[in-house]
Amino acid sequence: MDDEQYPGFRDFVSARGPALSRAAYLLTGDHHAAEDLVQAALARVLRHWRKLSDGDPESYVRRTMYHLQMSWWRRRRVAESLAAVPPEPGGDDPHRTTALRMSLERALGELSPRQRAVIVLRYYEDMTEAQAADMLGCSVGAVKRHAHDALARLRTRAPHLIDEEVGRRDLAIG
Amino acid sequence: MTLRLGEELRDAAELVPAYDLVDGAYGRARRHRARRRAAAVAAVMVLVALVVVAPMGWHRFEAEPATPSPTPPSLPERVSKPRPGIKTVEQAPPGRASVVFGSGDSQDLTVVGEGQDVYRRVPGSDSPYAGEQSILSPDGSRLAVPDGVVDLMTGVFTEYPPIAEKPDVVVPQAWSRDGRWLAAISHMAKPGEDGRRVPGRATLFLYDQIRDISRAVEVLDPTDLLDGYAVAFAENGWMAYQSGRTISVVRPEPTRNVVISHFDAPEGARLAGRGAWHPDSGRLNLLRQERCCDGDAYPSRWQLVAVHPHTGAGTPTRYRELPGLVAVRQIGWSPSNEPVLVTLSPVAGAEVAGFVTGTRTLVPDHGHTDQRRVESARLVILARDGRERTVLSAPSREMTSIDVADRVIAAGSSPAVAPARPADRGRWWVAGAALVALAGAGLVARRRRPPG
Repeated sequence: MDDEQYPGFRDFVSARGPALSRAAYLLTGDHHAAEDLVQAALARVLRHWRKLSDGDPESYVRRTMYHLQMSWWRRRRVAESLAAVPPEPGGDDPHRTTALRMSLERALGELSPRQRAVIVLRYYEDMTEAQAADMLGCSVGAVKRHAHDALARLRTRAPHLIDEEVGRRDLAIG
Repeated sequence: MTLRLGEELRDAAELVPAYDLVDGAYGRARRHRARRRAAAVAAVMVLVALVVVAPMGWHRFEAEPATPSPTPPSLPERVSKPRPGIKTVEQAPPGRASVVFGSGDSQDLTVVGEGQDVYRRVPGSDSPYAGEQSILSPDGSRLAVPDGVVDLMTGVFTEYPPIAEKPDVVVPQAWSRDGRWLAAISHMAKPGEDGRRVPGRATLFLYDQIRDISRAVEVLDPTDLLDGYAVAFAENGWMAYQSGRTISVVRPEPTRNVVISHFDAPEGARLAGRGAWHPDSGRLNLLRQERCCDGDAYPSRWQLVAVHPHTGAGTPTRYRELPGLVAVRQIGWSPSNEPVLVTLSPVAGAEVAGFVTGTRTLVPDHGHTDQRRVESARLVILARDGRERTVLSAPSREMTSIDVADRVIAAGSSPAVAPARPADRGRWWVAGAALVALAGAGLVARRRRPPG
């Protein structure tokens, strides 16, 4: 019945769900929280599915995800409602990769939600500062400031994640 | 670009498993539709009431005529929910604010510029309650919100400096009277017995605005905290805070706190709010609730109780009971040393709530000031003769939470700001708009009805 009401939605999620899930995981660092975040954003796109299905629903979902993740109220709610045990991650997980990933997760966990969102937009989604500002609904200056602060913190806590020369340049520009 | 960071992010992302997205999204959408239907029914009932009531007599809702004040700062006598599309504080900083308020039907907070007819929206998709999770600085130039401080002079948002552990959320509680210290509580959740995460750790810390550092003060009882009632600063710089029944009084210094006293509050009593200290710093107001009495429409009575800050012993100061209110919070003192209170009136049929409501949850709208329980908020002065004098109000449901800058409270109340959307544009205009809305709602309902 839902599939009839929202034609094409299931296909959209099949095609774009994995990419959205990956971004959500980088934003939250927790599989339950990531699943919750994508579901919440998809549920919002369903409210406007008739209009959006002919346009660009993915950009709407992404924008919603980033805004929801920065919402302090939602973080409180999610903190209250998440299950205690996260699901088993799928796929191969070689030992070396796990060690690096743990280090990355720990380092990202040191960032504030806004800083983390800017890092994911700039260095995972490869967006420009202007595009990131548009996505987050803030000024380019705010994006620069968050990126600068985030890189400075990563540089302290996980220096191996930052290319030495380039990292310094980014900090100087920021 | 930082190539290595990008590579690491992509490597981590590749390991993300497939989530159950479609069914989860459908379930959420169904729940949203059900809630929206219920809200639509309620809205139609309100519109019907408006159509009937407005022509009969709108005088109860009329705004007072705006009187320009020659000497800012001053408190607006009345505010209204702003018109849609107003700018955010980041887009157009309002300068010093006199008031921040929230409206029950909106997720935005609104700040009112001091001495000007300027309303601005606080950015963010879901806003905290004014005076509980968002606190104006004493001079009105900054607004502390969860996770950081918005500078109302520049529109710049600055996150709180990091503390030792990374919290799930940081909630501001009170500013010191000189604006140097901001007390805030960092919350961390933990897994509960049923798999839900519950309050796990709450740490009170002080944010030093001069040195731009934070330092922890004390780990508090995480299951028994109420935003807006946890911390109060005195004129002499002392800070009182409450954890469970214990009230502690300290004097913050740049690198440490000097402990003045600890005492137990009477059973069920709380600090009365961020304005709980008497102006002479010699007494501290607590607040207690009696769930009584026969004949009261909303059986709850609140009463301020003055205690000695060294011992917690009672003092001869007496205040009269305030009946029929969801909540009361003291945010300061009038120029003639009378308590300035925020009072929240209940919606019809609301269940009585109190300090214990929702204290074991991380979500503020489970607490006793839950905005769905509040019909209207007012700022009142509890006069020496026991009467309440309203100094700031708004039409029903247009203001359900408030905070006011200390500087404005200290200056006394005088109307200065015209409502951004005055409520007295004419009863027939309102009635006509209500009729049009009602007709529109009917048309939408018709169109949504399945064929056949």
